[in-house]
Amino acid sequence: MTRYEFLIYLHILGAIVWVGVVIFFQYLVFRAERTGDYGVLWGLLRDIEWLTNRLFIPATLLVLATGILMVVDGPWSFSQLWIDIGLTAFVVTFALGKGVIEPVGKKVDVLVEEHGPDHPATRRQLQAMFLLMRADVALLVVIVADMASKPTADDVWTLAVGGAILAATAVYVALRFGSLQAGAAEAAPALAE
Amino acid sequence: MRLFTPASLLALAFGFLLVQEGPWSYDELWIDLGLAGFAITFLLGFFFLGPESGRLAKLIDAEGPASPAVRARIRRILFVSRLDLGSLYAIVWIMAVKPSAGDAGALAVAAAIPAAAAMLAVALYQADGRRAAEVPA
Repeated sequence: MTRYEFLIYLHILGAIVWVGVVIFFQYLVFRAERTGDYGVLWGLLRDIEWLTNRLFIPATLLVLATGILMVVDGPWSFSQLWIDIGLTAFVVTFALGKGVIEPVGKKVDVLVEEHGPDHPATRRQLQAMFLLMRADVALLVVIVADMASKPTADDVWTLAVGGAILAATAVYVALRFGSLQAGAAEAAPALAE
Repeated sequence: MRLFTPASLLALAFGFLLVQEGPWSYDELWIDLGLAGFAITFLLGFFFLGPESGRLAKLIDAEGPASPAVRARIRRILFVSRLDLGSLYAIVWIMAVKPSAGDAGALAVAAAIPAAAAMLAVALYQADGRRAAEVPA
């Protein structure tokens, strides 16, 4: 048993917790969306908010810290492409969480307080929030694939598939956001009345 | 049934394929331990956690979430799921470290993880029981 093996254990455990819980919540959101019960969706959001500082952030920081330590301790270097991809994707997912998802979540909190979870504006924000979280799931899946396959610059197909997944996710998110905003624009005059 | 069972079967199936495809064999200790651990957690889920969740849901419908019988069953299901979690942490350790018969330290950790989880599960079960006794039905 070596220090490196201990680090890889913590790294994998942190990743399991992080990715596993995110995917698990998406299943619950999908199930709640099918019932159309926005009160349940609001409850799920509150659970996610509660877990963010207590579980997600510690797990992601554990993954990052042990990953960096493994590069220092192991046969890797920061000039390897798969490590750079992993670090970049980590920064993106962290920024998405703190910089985009969290503010949208705060907007939802305000809207629920003012109008309740079933109001059209609240529903749209909740849908936007969960859409962003789906994008985050796609990014996490690509990170896991990157860590498992460790592509170099010569692994063109592997890199192309990862890039295609991210591009498809970006297109899907953009289209769905477009329709959410179109819905908001249509509803604005009715709500004003 | 929609997530955990498919995910665990996927992990098992890809594990077998990795042994076929890669430089491993079924007489390696860590693979045998991993399969044994998988069997334990799968059987626990299939024969207890899954059915008990269904029974609990029916009991909640019949008696409400605050009934003493419901609370006792919730405590029991949480206790077993914490034991299960301990075995899962141990499986992840074994898969990450891949101990052989000579890796006494790693094997000791593999045994210590579920043991520690069991101790914690017992302590939490007893604490939950004390809390339940204080709350009126």
